[in-house]
Amino acid sequence: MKIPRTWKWTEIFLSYNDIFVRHAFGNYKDILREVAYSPMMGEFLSHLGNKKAFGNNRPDENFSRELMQLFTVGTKMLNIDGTEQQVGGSHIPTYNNADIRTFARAWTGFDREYRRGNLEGYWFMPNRVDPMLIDGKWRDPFPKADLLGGYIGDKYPLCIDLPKRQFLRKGAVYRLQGSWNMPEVQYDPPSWKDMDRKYFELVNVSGLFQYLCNSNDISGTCDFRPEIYLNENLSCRGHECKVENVRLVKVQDVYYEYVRPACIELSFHKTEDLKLIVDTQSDTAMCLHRQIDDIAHDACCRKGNTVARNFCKFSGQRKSFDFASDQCKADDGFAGMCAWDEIFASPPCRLDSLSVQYHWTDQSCETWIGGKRIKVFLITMSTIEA
Amino acid sequence: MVNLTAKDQLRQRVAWALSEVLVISTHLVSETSFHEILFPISPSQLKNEIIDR
Repeated sequence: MKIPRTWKWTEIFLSYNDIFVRHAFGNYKDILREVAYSPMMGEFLSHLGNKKAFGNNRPDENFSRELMQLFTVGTKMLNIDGTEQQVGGSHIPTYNNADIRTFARAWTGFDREYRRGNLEGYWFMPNRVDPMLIDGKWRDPFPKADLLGGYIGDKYPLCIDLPKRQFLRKGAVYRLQGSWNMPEVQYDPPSWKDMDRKYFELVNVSGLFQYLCNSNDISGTCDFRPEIYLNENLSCRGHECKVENVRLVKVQDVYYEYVRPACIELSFHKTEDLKLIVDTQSDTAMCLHRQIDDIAHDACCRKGNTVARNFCKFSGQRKSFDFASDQCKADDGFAGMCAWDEIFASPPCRLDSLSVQYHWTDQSCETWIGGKRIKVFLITMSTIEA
Repeated sequence: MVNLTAKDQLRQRVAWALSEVLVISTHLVSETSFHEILFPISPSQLKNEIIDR
């Protein structure tokens, strides 16, 4: 690639080229991953800012197409020696338009990482060096098939099958954030960055504290490492026992982010497992599996009252339906979830009224939209059937 | 041009070959992305944002 002589800023291209330098003798899969997440490739093949289907918007198919046509399988099925496979004198296509549309949905939600201080250029320029992040709001939520009849995510465990309090179990991973108080692989509303939050602060009798603090002198001074793996199952201490999951944990003056293991959330469930969740800000409601513990917030009601309260051990704590019900009764003297029509969700649990936060109701739920049941056709886009 | 004189010539040349496969170019990618700075949200995106709310 030729960079024009007049260009002053070159770091963006050099950092892209460094992907190939790093992996020159490595694995092509690693190159593909880094290229796909590169904001430069995101700009070039337009999956940066690509959004799920809504209204008249359809996901951009550019990267999905080129990834197969130019970067990987190509358009024709080949024999092991590289010659074309033939059936009745014609070649066999590797994929069709439906495959491209399916994969286009997989390349949605990509956006730029926050800018950091030590990048070339002015402070107001976008971050064109670090791998893109995925914004759940614009991510297509439906299943995505692969070319061989399987689904993306096959072989991973279901999230609801993972043991409770995975963050205290052997193999749990924590990343050092320093003083940066926003989770990076999990989600908090960006507007919370400068707000006075209630953090999940560890006390020094906790086993998790000992791991993260990593102190080896008698004064107890922490020796923070960039990444921490738990080598054993820890038992919960204090408020650790009152949460199902964590995002940021505070250890003295620094933050660690808990990195959730890769797992699968199914798009469709049996009706009896579903409860209705509602967000008043966007005035929307959805069905959620009652055991999913990192989407919805609690809404505790007194008997016969429809004004609900929200409780938390840290700002934005999310709970499963059953855990939320138990906590309402045990800790706060309420009756449980209800069909609330008003909710008091105020600091420190909810810091602003603008961010989207879903709250549990005790209402049953079916995956119907506008009186029509959703049906997902294999491989192609989800469609609404009358 | 460090990659013309670098000791790891094979690595640099493999990298160059890979960059010919996984291409990006200044044809579609600008130096400064000033367009994005001046117009952080395009009119069509803005419309989408409104529909979404």
